[in-house]
Amino acid sequence: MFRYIVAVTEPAFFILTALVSGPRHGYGIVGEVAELSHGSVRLKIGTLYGVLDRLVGDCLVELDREEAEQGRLRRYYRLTGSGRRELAAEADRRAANARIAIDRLRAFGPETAA
Amino acid sequence: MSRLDERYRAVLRLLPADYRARWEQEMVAAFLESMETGDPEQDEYVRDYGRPSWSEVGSVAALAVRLRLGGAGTPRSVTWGAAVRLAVLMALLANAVSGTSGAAFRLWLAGTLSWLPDPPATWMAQIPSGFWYVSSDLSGLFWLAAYVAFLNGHLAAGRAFIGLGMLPGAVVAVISTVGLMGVSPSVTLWTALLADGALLLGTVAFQPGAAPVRIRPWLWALPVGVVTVAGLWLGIVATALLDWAGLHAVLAVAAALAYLGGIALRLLRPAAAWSLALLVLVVAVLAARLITLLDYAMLDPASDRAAWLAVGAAEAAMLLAVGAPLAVLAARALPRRVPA
Repeated sequence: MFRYIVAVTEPAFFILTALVSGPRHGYGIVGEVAELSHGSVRLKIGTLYGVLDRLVGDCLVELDREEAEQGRLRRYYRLTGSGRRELAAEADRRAANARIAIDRLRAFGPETAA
Repeated sequence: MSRLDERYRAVLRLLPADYRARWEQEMVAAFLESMETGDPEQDEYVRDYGRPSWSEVGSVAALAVRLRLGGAGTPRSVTWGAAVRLAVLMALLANAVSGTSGAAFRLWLAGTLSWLPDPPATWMAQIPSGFWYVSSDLSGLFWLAAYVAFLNGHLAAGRAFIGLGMLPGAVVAVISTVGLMGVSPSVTLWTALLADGALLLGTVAFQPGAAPVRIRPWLWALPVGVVTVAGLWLGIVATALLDWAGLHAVLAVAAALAYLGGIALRLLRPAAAWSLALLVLVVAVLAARLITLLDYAMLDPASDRAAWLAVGAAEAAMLLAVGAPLAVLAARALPRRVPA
């Protein structure tokens, strides 16, 4: 299930990556993902909680603690052991794919084509 | 509670009740935090007059569609999702079949299918030629591509092909409305376009996580349908008693009768998703049939008006006759609503 989510959605990949450094609450994840992706992934709240709901359901992310901040509920989430393993596997898969593309580009560069 | 808070909660009502019970408080807190600027005066203004952006509303709407139709919600929403996907596939099958038959018919008239006997010369005179008519007929093959794409899970490609398939119909509808090129205004053209638009909208039920489609039976249905519709179309040229809505009415009634007959003969067991999907199709085709009768009501009384209206009324009656038992089956089998 996770492989499918991550394979097709950039947000899931970045959400898991954002949780590697420690537990974060919803808006904290939004900020961390924006920073990690250099602003290219700006999560909307509906998108965040759609993905988070699936990740929690698949036991890749779990609730760490609850806090009240200025009268607002803050739930912090953390990566589970299986979440960390699956993220590592997915990162390897992406890196391997990227290496294939880079090798191809080098082998058939503009100078080769000419 | 600020007005911004209220406005965002109003948007969240798009989501299923059980999902809101789990996530609403948290989503609201995260949203309000995302709207803060750090300037107390500006934040006060935003709390009073700010609204969720369209992209924010869109993300909640997309989530609502996925939860309600995508196969990850309550048993009731899962059934609705499966039913909409089946209805979309059946409608795509109908369009693929009529599109492929139409394209083949046009190629036959053009003499491209030389291994077939020549078409009668009288037909050549009856079938309108010209760039738009020919491209409209050949564009039927986009529906075939859309059907195959959805069966194989290529959703984006499938939606793109649906858009391409709709294009000639949209052009002809606009041309008819502004009265160009001698095409008279037609309710049927717009109804067909609206139906295709609804079909495109229905494809949102295909979401990651939804149960995969068993491809083989759907692929077999294609040649069977093409042969059947080709036979019906030869009948149209000969008798001119079956129009676009009529053809779909016949196909919908045939599908419903096959399903209801299978249940009556105990060859099939009623399935909530199939009952609901066929009911959705029958209701949509019935609406299209009744609306498009307006075209015939506006005909000259001295023409075939009475015959067309009688045929249309008979088709509507048949749709009602199969729709009633489908509604009963669907109502019995649909899982109950979960109390909020």
